[in-house]
Amino acid sequence: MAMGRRQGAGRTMGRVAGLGKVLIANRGEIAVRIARTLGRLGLPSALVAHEADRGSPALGAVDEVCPIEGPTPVAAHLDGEQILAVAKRIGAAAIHPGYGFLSENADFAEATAAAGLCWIGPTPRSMRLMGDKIESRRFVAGLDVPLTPSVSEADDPRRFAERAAKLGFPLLIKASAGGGGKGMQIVRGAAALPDAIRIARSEASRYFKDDRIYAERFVESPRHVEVQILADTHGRVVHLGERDCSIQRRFQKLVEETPAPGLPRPLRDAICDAAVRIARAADYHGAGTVEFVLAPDGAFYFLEMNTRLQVEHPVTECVTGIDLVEQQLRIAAGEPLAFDQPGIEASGVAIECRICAEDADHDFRPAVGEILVFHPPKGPGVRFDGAIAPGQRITTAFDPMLAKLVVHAPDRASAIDRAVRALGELVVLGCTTNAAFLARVIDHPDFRAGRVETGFLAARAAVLAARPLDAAGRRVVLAATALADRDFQDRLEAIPELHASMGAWRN
Amino acid sequence: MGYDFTLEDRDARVLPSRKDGRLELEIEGARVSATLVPGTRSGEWTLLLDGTREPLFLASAGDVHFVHWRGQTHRVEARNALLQARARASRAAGAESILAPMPGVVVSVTVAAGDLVEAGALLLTIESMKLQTAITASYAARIEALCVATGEAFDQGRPLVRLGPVTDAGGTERTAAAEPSPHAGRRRGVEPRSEAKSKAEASKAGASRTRAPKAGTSKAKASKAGSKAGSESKAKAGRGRTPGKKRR
Repeated sequence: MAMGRRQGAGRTMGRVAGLGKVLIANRGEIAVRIARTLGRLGLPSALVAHEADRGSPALGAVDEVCPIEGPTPVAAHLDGEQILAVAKRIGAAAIHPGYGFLSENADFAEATAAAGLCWIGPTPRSMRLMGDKIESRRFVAGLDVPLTPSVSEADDPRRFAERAAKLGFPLLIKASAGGGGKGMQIVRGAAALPDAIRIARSEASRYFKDDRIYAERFVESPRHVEVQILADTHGRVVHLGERDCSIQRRFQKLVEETPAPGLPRPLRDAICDAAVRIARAADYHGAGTVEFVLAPDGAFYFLEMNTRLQVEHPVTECVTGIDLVEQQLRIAAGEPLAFDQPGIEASGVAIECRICAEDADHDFRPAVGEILVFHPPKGPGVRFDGAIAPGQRITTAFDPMLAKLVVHAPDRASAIDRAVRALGELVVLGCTTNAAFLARVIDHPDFRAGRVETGFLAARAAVLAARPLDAAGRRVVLAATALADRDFQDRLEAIPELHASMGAWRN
Repeated sequence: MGYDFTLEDRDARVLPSRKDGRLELEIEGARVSATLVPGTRSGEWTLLLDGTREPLFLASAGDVHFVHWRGQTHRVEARNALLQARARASRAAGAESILAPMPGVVVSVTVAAGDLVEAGALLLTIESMKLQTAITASYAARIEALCVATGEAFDQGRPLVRLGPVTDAGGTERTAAAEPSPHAGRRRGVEPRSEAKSKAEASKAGASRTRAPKAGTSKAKASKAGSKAGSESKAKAGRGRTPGKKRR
């Protein structure tokens, strides 16, 4: 699980002054990832863990494990009060929230600071400003950054449907407090609008306890391009380049890469500049990501800002050699950034594939099971961020993402080759994963040609489906299975040498 | 006697025979000689199939086998007569239970035990893959029991709610089905993981530990390697996992 070669060298400036024990308020692969940097920087690490986290390698990656309880495993991880109590009890100096769970909860960030602990993240004020989709759009609109035309339900609830329809179809209905594609729907005609509004409102209320929704014009064949930002508390804001995250299923990213393929330099610069402008205006501190929708004609629109570490941050780390978790810690400790914009150089291409416990051939339905055998891929330019171990039970209690395969290579074609090979080398037995599907996706001629857009998977569902084994392949798999099967073995013993004729044993 | 497996939704029969001490398998009509040779890593094997070498990984949990070969993982179910009979029996016993069509979480429960419901009535709402699915009664029934509570997570095939006849005077028995389910009919029936089955696995594993080594020395290499694979899978069935070193 070594980081890219460049990591750790050069950018590390020794200890982080003023930070003590860091409590990781998360789980799984990101807990392992954060613990790795804490260990490298000589900072003591602690992790909260629910009973359902038992068996996770994350527990062995930290110095201290603190049990938490809740009506459900997710509820335990969302219980800010309990987690703060744990932090105080163990004498933690800081809380790193990772992504998901409490990472974008401004109230929790505030409570952390009020308890005298350091919050590894932006200020609650910028979290509130950028965390709300409607508020952040209003804010960004004043910064000369393009936005897709939109209407908010809150402005005039009674005429919302009418105002939304006026934007023109297709429309996207979204939850104001949303994220992760939840409560999001594409509406292609007026007839479908009332239902879409009703469903979006109920999903928004259920997922985010906030039923405010808004509608925006849907850009056809869009690409998802986002910019990694780092901003210190001394006024320096830099970007670490862009990432293309267009390969999505159910509005959720599956493959991410940097640089975005085929982006002309001036366009890339314009997008990155807009991101820096937004972060600066928001008085943002820490690591953040500004997301944009890129239309086929090169027009780009602000989508939202994520005020936390992103799942896909490793691709940026691979090409820049900058450890983003380390930078988060240094910024939170009040250190100025040790580099300026010209000092950030990106080399090569990095691609991330999200390894999920799901059945890509059955509508990406979540898969469950106990991990029986696990072998991560290895080799130069291969980074595997995961928290998988034999004996671990994969359930639907948490998000289906198990691990991230990240490859780095001098050029995109080699990176794809490397990722395809590594996906084939990854062995996870006991729970279905999407590894083979991911290999088919990135090996597809259109992906290789950089023709990516958010509808990529849906448009190619048939050709990306698993091909059934041929007769010879079935013989290999069935022979291996039969020889390994206990009951089959029993029968073999019972076959006397004398009665070797096949016919005699047919029934 | 043949042995049945299901691979990629297709049943396949494997017929073993031993000729001049050599193990042969007839698989879907083709006869091959097959030997498994263990590798160094956990779950690693080389299959010698008519002389060709096929490196692969395999592991078993009870009667479900996973084979990783050429970058793809295949799930194979052993369908021997005994297990099939047990599954049928447990299905019959739970014929009035609505089984979870896929793994998920209960979002809300609309009915209570003892309620009388009309055909089509909403019983509970489940969520899977961030999508909600309404579980409705396919016929008028009385709710005998709710097997899950709001917020509870469940695996595919877990009974969600048990339905009984509307009147006490026993009418004809009918089977409830979860509908509308986005996946209804896409898979063969969901199989509840019955207690009987788990017990069978446990006792099988217990037996395997005490059993004397097999594959007498007079037998060919092929059969020895086969036995080895067999006993490894037994150990797996017992603990439900492959013995292996803890990582990190």
